[in-house]
Amino acid sequence: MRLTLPLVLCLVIVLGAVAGALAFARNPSAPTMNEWAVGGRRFGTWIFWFVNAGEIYTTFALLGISGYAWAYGAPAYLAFTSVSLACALGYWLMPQIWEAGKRYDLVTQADFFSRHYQAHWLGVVVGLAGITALIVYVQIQLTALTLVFRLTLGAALSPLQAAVLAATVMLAFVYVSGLRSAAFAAGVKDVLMIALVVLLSLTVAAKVGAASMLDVFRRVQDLHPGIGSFPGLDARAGLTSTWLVTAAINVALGTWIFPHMFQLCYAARDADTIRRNAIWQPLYSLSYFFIVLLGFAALLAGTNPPDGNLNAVLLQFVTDRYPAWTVGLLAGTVCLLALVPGSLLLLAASSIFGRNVVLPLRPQLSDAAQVWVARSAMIVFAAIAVWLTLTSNKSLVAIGLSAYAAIGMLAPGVFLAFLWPRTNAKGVFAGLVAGYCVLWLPVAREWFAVLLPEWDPGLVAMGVNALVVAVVSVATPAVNGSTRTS
Amino acid sequence: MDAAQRRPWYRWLLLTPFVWQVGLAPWINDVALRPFGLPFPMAWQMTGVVLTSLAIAVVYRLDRRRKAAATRS
Repeated sequence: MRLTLPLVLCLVIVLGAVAGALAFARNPSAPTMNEWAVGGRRFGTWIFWFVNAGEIYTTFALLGISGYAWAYGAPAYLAFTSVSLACALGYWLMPQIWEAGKRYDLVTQADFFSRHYQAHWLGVVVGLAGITALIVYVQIQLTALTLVFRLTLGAALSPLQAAVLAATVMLAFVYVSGLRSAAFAAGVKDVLMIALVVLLSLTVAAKVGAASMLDVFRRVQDLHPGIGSFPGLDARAGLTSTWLVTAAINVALGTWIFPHMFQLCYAARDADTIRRNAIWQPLYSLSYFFIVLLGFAALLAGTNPPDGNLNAVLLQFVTDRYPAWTVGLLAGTVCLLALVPGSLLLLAASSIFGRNVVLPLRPQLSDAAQVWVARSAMIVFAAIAVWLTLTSNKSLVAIGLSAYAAIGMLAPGVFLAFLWPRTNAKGVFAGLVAGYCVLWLPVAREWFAVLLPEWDPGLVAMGVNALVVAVVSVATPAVNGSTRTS
Repeated sequence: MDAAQRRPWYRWLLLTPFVWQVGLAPWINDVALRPFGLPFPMAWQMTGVVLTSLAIAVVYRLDRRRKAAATRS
């Protein structure tokens, strides 16, 4: 293994962030479940902002969206649409989740379901469903980390070695002290990402023979008519404005339903912290301007990623056209972009497993033992994600949308909890089953693809799910909801 | 508490991105204008982002004022 400049820079960034994170974490020796999983419920404005941004702006944003801009053009705007929708929705939804969490001392999302619907068995089902979606989301981060490791360490590293190394670093990252340590690294990675994309964008025009940043957009539209509007460059991909509308709504409805977002919500100091965050978070998504710009520039430059892999476009473009230290900076940033959310995802999956799957079976488990079980489960989940990473070669955006589709199945149960007191556990369960059938049974999928072409399959399945929840809830006797606050 | 008090009218402002960025997206897709050289649908989405932040900020302000009024009375 040769110590190249990019490799050294990448190591410095990752190790620096890890060291800082450890210094920032409080009392790592004997964490309680409350401290480990929801940061002691005292996240103020800044920490909350960075962790929230850390979970929205992952490698999906940087590598996925630039790859989409390069391959399809307009469909990359999904990034602008989904964040705004999610924040407007979050302003209304998240304070209510926070309040339920505070009042009933909830730690996980499954806690919310079992408490609100007064059914422990539903908590177990929801817990397992949440873990499934989280593992798919970890897969995204591992795919990106694997790409970076192979770029910086060379092809000497087999895909398996790279993926295992990626998972190990991710585990090490969160193992020591949970949510608080990730918060620090999230701040570092956000500042780095913005600095990096702006830096790359400032010099990009000269690299591709354009007069200015905006000239890159002019040239790419003249060269590829139709790239700037839907359906973009590849009409056969079916990424029309109908796709944008349905995919953006599905992502927005799913964003806060991810179990780690629930946990982040509980971690806020007060509801006002959450509301203020919702005001500023959309503006932050304007930084996607630079990411789309870089994707378009890569297209102008005739970038040719290995195997035509969308996910590698930005890495390839920067390697081709920029100095070595920039490559190192990008590699280090992508590592953090993958590690921070990845570790939070594993953290959420493992705390759900310990609390909502194992504890109902072994109620005498002590708090310390719970943390131990959760930590062991994390290793197993990471291993499953490694296996998924090695067996799939889809684009990051496509994997992301399938993760949102999977988690979207829990959305009716959350939204209806605050909207319709009549909703009950049996209804939520029936809806869940119906939704997964629509999503995963090939027969159902094909049927709906003909009926509603270009629709995001996740949104279709969520619709069916919600309908079934309503019908079954009406048909079964009502049980009083308990977390409703107003 | 009556229904009007529970759900104040201005909360509807939260629908801004749903109308601008989703509802109108298919209608503006083929506009050939290029503001600042950008593809029109991209400029449209970015404008929508700014409007969303503004709308949420207005709702937040009004919520605060309403809460303050409620605690005073």
